[in-house]
Amino acid sequence: MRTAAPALPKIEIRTLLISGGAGCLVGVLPLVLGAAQPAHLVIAAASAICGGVVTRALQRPARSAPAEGASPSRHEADAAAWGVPPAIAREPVEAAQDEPRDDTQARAQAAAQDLADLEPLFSVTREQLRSIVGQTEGAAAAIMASLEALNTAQTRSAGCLTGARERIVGVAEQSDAALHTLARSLGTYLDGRLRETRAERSAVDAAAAQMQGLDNLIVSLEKVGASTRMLALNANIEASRAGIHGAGFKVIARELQDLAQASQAAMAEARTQVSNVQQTIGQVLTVEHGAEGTLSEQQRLQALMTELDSIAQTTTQVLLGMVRSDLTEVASLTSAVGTEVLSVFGQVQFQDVVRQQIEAIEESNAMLQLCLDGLQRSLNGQEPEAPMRPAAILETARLHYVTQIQRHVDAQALGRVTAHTDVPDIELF
Amino acid sequence: MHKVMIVDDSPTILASMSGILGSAGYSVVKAANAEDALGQVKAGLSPALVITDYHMPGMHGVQLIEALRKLTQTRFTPMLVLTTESQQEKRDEARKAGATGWLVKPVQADKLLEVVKQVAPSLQAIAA
Repeated sequence: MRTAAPALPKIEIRTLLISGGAGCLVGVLPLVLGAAQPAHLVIAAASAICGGVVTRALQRPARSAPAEGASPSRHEADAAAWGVPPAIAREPVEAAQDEPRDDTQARAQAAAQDLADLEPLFSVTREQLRSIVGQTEGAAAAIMASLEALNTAQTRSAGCLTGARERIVGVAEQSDAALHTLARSLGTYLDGRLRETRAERSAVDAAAAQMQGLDNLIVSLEKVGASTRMLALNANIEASRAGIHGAGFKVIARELQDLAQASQAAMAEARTQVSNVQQTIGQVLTVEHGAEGTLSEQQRLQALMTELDSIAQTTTQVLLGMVRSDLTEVASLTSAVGTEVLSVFGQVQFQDVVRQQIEAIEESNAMLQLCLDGLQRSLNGQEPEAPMRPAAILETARLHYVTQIQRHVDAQALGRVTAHTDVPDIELF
Repeated sequence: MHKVMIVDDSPTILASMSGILGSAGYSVVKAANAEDALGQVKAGLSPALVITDYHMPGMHGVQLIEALRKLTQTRFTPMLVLTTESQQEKRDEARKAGATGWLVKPVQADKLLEVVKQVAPSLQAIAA
């Protein structure tokens, strides 16, 4: 539902006075002063016409608020739905059928007012763009702070990792060397003991063999002693048979018998001594038998040390392998994190690129505002302060482009084909 | 001590460049505009490398390079322009002013470090 257009007021006396007064003042004043020229008459006529234009301007219908209780128009309803203030959501001026010239002026005035009402929109847009720049700067600063922290942590982590790696390698090498040295020392000691034991065993075996020979000799001597005793007994018997002639021989036989008895006693003593020595050798052999057990223990101990040495070597190899593989991989990953952090440090620069693009839009916005201001002044019958054509705005906006992307988007939006210039991002002169 | 001077009105770029160069072991000094940078050099700072933005409030980057080239301690210092600007005319202008090279934002960290090593090899000695 539309509201009826208000009736145009009739020409007021004061407006006629203004137009007539202006014309007369310009045209008549030179006549009074006696310096009338044809040009003054032309000026007087033009002034009268201007007076008429001013009069028309003053006849512009006032914007009337809808009557209280009247239903809002569709335009107002739409505006209300979008949250547009009533001053901006003004009803378009209805065309008057009876006075087309006045209607055109009224439309021009309304359009000028619309343009005037657009001014807050430009301010809001400008502030919105600045707010976006501020937000991206804030976000970039937060990202940079996080990156700094991440970078510091990564650097410390890499340092700790290197230290741990060196320490593990050092401990592994020291442990390996110590165990190896220990095993070698014990092995040398056990080898020496083994050699000594074997030498002792050989000596005892030789002594035992010699004692056995001695024992055999004693047995032989005992047989000789027994034969001698029998010979002495027989000699004594034969000497007794010979009577007085065998007296001397009987003395020899007796002496021979005493000798055999003494020899038998010595043999018995020798046997006792040999037996004692053999017992001692037997005890030594028993000890040696125990020593054989010790020898076996020594061999097992040596084998154990060899095994320990092998374990130490294996442990060292595993540790070194871990250092080379796992820790190297962790170090590699840490390094990769550092590289990524560096990469993000570079990528954050997009914020500055976006900021400059937004600033270019802001400048275009300001120029558009100037242009509309000029239009508004023209519609109001005033001379624009700084006339600006839309083409000039676009051209000036282009001058503010700094990135290749801006130029590309501009050309794409206008359907232009631009020569692709492949300018390198990095150029050393 | 040899330092890399970063000149940019964007705090993001200053932080980004400091992060990249600092991680690589370089010592960085920052300036928020060309006048600040010029003042630091006139006060005695002798940077081993200058990396400057082009578009800044006040003097722009190429004007800064021209001014620094007139000072004794920065007459032969390598100077790079790091900018969003992509016009060839601006590059030519920078070259004539004595710039060593031209980098377009955003620049990748590894590429930046390569360029730094290339144009300022003496800085490698203090790099970690």
